Amino acid sequence: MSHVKLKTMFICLMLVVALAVPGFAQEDVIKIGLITSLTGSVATYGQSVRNAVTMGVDDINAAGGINGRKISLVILDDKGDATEAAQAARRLIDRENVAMILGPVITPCVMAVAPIAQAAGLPMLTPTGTGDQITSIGDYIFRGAYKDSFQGRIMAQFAAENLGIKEAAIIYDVANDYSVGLRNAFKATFEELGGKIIAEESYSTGDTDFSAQLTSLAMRNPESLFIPDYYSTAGPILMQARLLGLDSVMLGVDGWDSPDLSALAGGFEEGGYIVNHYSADVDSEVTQNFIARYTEKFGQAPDALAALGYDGVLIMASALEAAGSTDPEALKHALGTVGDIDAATGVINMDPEGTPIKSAVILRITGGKWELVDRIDPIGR
Amino acid sequence: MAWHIMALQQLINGLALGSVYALIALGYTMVYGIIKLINFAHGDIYMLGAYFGFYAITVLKLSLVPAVLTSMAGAALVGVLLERIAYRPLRNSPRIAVLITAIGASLLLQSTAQLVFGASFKPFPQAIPFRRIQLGPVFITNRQLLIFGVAVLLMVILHIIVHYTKLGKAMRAVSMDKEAALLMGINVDRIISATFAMGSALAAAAGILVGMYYNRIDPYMGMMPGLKAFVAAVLGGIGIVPGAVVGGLLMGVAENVVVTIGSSTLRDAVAFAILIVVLLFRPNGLLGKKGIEKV
Amino acid sequence: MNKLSSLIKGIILLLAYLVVQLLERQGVLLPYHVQILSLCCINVILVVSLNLINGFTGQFSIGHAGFLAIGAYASAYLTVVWQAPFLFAIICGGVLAGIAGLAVGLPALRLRGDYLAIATLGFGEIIRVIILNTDAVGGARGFSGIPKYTTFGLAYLMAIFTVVVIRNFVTSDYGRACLAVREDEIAAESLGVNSTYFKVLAFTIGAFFAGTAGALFSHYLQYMAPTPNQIGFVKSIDILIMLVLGGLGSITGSIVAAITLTIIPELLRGFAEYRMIIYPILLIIVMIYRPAGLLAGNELSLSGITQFVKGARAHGNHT
Repeated sequence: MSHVKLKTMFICLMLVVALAVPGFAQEDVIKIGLITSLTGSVATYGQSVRNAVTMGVDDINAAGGINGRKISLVILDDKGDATEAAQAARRLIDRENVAMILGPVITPCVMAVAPIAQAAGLPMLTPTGTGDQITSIGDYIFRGAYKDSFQGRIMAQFAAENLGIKEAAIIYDVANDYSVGLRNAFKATFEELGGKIIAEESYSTGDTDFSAQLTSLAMRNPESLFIPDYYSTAGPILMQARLLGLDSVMLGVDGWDSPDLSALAGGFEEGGYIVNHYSADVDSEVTQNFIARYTEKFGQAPDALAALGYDGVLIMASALEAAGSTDPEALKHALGTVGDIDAATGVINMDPEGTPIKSAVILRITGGKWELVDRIDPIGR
Repeated sequence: MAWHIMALQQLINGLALGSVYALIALGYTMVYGIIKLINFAHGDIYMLGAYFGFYAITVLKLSLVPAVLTSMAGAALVGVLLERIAYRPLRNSPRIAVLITAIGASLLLQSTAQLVFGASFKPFPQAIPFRRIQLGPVFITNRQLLIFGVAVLLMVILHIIVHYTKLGKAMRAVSMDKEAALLMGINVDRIISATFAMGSALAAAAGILVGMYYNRIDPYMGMMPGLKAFVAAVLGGIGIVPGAVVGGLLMGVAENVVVTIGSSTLRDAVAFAILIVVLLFRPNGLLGKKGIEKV
Repeated sequence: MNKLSSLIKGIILLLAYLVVQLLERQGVLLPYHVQILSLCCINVILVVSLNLINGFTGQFSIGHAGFLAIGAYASAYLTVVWQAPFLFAIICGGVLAGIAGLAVGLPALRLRGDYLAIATLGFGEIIRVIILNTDAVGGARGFSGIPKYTTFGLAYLMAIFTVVVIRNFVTSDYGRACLAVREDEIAAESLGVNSTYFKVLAFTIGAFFAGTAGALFSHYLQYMAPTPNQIGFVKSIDILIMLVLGGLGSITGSIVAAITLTIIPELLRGFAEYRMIIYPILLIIVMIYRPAGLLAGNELSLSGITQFVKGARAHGNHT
């Protein structure tokens, strides 16, 4: 038995005590918790959301806050890990006594946090979580993004009806629920509309070499290729596909929307179509304003995740204003009913089921610019 | 495309992917060969090398060759420092302790890179114009050829250094018996530093080539390829220089065969299953000699 | 003396539990803290069970999360789809993981050291890819809607059960045989120890407990995702770090390290981006100063503590 051992025990004890000290609650501010991925391999998405959310909160506070009360933001990192996200959620609920949780960013983390928020009766809104199953966890769970099934269906309809495409191939990330969800929805709708999926290939998160899959696809010479993934992977796939001789019509999703896509794809994204939340050229003043100010503040144009993060704050602010208090029940009701929010990604109407009703646009990359091709307004969602 | 042409094309793709693994595996296996350390941070030095190259080209405006050399020098420095600070104090400790510091070093390099270089995916400057070389019905790109050529070239150079130079002789002596090497007047510390410098420089060269090949670098780019390269090194027989290349090429081809004839969703599982089966029949790797058990 | 010491330990463990319950009821310990304590217990099971394989039998497994995954998914499938009782699901999860452990133990007969490490790593990744491709357990979407059956009390009880079983195992004849295999396989064989049998036995028992930990884990988080940091090699390495930091072959070391390393990332959470820089630096520093782990091959014991206190008192009297 040595000193060291006792010291170790003592340190452990101190750590437990340190954890036990409750946080201080202030009355004149509305405390909001943000769970996002600041470290780990998905940090680039989480940091976009963090940037946009802090910018949004600063905007609201600069304009006098909500019903005279300022918003104070508590940001916790989840490392892109579901277990960590669950811990962060409990901490926000029990120690920080937040009025509402924003985040997490990626679906696995959302799925771990949602049951906790639901059981605690605290509203949460994930700005970016797209997995269909998220909002079915309970009535306190909201999101700011499209469902995967909605977006996948829009692209399949556009491809089949507007472009008159008969044959499609798909390459997707089998380890990423976003990619899998979009692929399922696209496949179902496209086949329903009489199209044929002639080949499907997959890869795993973190892969950089797609030559084997793309060579197999090239042999079938598909009329179009659907690539449901973020720009960071879609870019290299686009480049490798063109280099391997695939000249299909490339179909994409909102994850492609990033200032980095073009460089990552080596210019081969030209001619591709994506579903997106907004079109930078034609949309409202709020959109233009957001893009300009974000670019100025962070030295880079916002990606789709940043825009969604900003809108998460706007939805939250409208709900807080409508509820008139931070009472969870009132806030939950408000989150499900607020509407006509003039947000960065267009006009948003919330739905008690948890997913916003908003329009989608189809953009085409022409001469390195995103051009508006079609606009789908939310009917029969 | 007829199936046999596609098979040939997939073989070429597999060899190119395998060259990527081989490039990373070379440095891995070299460090292991000399000091028996699974240098978990090797994949992260590879990542650092890619970033050094990125900034050498974009900020310092260097052309490709000087940029590669700068990056190799920078990575060698990091490798030597890493060994000096994190591994040397543990040289006489259980090997598993050094493994844990190596994992710690790997985490540290990843998060530091994320903080310093940013978390986003960066497109790598395309210093070499792309060209497609038609070989009858199949084709190969100039970049695939480059990666394959560099991997084989580095293997030959490394083999010559280890087997035909004074430094290599000293390395092999340290590898066999550190105390005896010390008694023979070999500066063991310096030899180990040199090993790390060389291994890290190799990793940096690989980082730049691969970054350029795939046109994308990020702070976590070393994690999965590092793991796969390590597996490749073990497959070939860890510590044996040509083994790294053989193991790497074999892994690359195996992965592409799985995609071609079977399901791409099971690619990684099948690759690992092949590995386990190979190891069961050749427990010391493909090129490994059967160790004599000492009683 | 031995019986008395066991009794005292039992009383202390019971008191600790009662104190937690009391503090929770008083509102001093929030659900947040209790949740962390439950995770500590789950990690204790994982680390102690890996210690049997790596620490006491001298094998080198870095695929422990694979066993956790089997237990987690199998038990969740049982409670969600078949509405099986939780205890039954835990046992099934453990048994299935144990069977997998048996299968992984077999290559261990031919492979050594780093080669074995790679084989176990490969095994863990194979399990993950299979889960990823199994729609019945959610595939890439993850397995959601798992009931929250894991309470602190249950996790605490299971952790104590694991520690007692593994401690009794390693101090039994079987355990001595495992130690002999670790120290010198050839010498052990020549003394009539069937090293094959004991290696496979260690893998099977270790995997069984990792499986039960998995069952507790999935019903704690209520959601399982087939990501590397949940059930893949990142998780395996986390467990390995805890084991080595505590000290190979020290059960109390494993317990202390599992608890400490579960709590530290939580304390560092406020540091945002700097968190993942501070953590590895701490890890490297600890390994440099305590290369054999916090409690290398030693155990914390009651008599040790009383002797220490006595010594301190005696020292105090002298001055």
